[in-house]
Amino acid sequence: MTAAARFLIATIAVFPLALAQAQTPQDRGLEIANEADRRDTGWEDSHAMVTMTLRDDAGREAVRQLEIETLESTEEGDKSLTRFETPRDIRGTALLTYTYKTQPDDQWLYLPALKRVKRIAAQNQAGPFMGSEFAFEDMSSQEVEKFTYLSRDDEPCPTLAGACYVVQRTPTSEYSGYSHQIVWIDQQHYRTDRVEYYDRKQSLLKTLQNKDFKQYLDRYWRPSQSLMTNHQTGKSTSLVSEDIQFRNGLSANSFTPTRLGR
Amino acid sequence: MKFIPAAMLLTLTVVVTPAARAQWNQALGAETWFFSQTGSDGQTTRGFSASYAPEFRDEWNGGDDRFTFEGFARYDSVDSSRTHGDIRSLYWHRLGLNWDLRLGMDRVFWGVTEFDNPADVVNQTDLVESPDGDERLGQPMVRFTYLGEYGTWDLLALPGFRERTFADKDGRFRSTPAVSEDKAQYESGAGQHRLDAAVRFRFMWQQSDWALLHFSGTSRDPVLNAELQNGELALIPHYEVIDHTAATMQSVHGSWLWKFELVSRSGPIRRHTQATGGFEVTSYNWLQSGLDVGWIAEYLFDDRKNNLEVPFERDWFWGARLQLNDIQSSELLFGLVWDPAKAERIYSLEASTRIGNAVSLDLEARAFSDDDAVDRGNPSISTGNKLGFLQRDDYLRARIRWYF
Repeated sequence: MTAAARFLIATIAVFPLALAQAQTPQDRGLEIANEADRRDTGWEDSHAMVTMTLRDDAGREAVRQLEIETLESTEEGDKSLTRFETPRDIRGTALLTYTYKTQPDDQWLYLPALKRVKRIAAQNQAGPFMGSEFAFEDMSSQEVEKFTYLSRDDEPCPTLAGACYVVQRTPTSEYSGYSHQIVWIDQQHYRTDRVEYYDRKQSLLKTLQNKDFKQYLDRYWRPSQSLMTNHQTGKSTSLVSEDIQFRNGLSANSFTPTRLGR
Repeated sequence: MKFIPAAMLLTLTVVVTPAARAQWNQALGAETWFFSQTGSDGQTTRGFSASYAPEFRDEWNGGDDRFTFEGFARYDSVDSSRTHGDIRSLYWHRLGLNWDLRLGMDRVFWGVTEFDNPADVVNQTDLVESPDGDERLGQPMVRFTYLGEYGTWDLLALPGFRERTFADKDGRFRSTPAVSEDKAQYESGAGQHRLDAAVRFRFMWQQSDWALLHFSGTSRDPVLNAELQNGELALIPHYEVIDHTAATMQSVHGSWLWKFELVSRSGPIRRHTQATGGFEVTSYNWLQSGLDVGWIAEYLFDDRKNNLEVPFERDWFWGARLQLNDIQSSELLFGLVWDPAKAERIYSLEASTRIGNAVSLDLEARAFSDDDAVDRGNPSISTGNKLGFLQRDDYLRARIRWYF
């Protein structure tokens, strides 16, 4: 082996490592977010029945049944339509959200008692969704552009098998209720295992734990259960999704304020 | 040719034609009223009332054809006019790719502001059901909706007219004398059978929701004419034929929501203008209390200054909405309507909560104040104060509703 050849081998061996070292934590964090986003592209639309269970600090529970339809959009953000089945007094109430990558989301609320379509300020994204521990911004589509990223040291996944990327992400919107979030993403399938939410004072506010991941269309992973725990109030909310269906052929016209009323 | 497993075909069939979704939903309500004093005609200070609201929905053709029925019935222990029923909806709805057709009784709401909705014109107000005018009666209509590239068109043909409901002589929130509903007069020779029409174009512009609309037909708001009938003064509702053109806007700026309605309406006598607008802004986790507080301010303008049918002509509305964010969705709404020129004020407080998953509870209290009232003991339509007739109607209402 010539000196030149030895040099080449050494270069080839060292080069990827050098690249990894040259890559800043910002670049690596963004790369992980982009890859997770790329892997979750092409499902077109989804339909799910979701049971939301609210628990207060005294252990009392209240249950809400939701029907959630989502329309994928690669150019802009996704569109989603949430209809309430229970509580019975607000049955038929519907929430339509247009998410955008860089500008604030558009949101409309349909109130069936008056057949009224009301625009709501989506900038109030930090507000609780239906009295739950999920804020509006936690429920809406997590577009890559809505955050800046910082990769941290890899760790074993909190609940999934294998290693996780750990990414700190900072909301770009000034209206967000969070200073930052820490996300655990499994390295094998890029599933979000856990998210920690830090309030504007940098203290830990909430933890989201996803459970029972299922794969759909041999490709897309969705958790069957999501538990959001608020560490400051002791309250929690769980979301259990049943019967998730993809590629239902939903029309964009179904996701318009005009068709909110049935 | 690819072999398609039977199970997969079955799955496809299930997705394309979901199981029938016929369902009944019903609500039973009971309420009790307490007034601070007897009415100007000696009406009682207490009342009890019960209501029943059935709803039936079905869909077929994979959801492209839908049927909706919403009924309503109320019994009132005091006011015989308030004992009433209505078909709020009874229609067939066909959904096309970019159009909708609805045939039958239905309600449409075209307002955007919180306190008063002058732009909303299609449905008659069920005034006995709610003194604040929030409830609507079903209207026979043929409604065609087209979802175009630049916005949505709504075209409505409205055969048949519904008269406004007014309180009986035993009821509250009424003028003295009570309105003689059964003697209603119409400008149109066709009376209640005139075919009215309305069109609305709704579009997004600059991230705001806009709508332009026009209605041509018999006004849902009657003019009340005082007439002598058999030697007694009577108030006769007179329904004019009007042209009503309006624009509405809802716009989001930061956490502020701005709303505006502008109306120009021409009747047989003159054209007049109404406008209302304001904002709503919500502070989440207000002062770290865990409560959400929404502030509402709106101004109302009407250029018919001294017309008795127009209680609000230069009035302010302020509201504060408090959400407790508990699992029962408890909420408080405080409101104040204020006419600075006349010192007329309406204070209101609404509180609501839920028990379990199927029972809702609410309380509503209102107080009417009018510093200029000449004779508080005997307010009548001859007084220049438009809220004079409500002077003795301060009330508290408690209501429970059960959904099943």
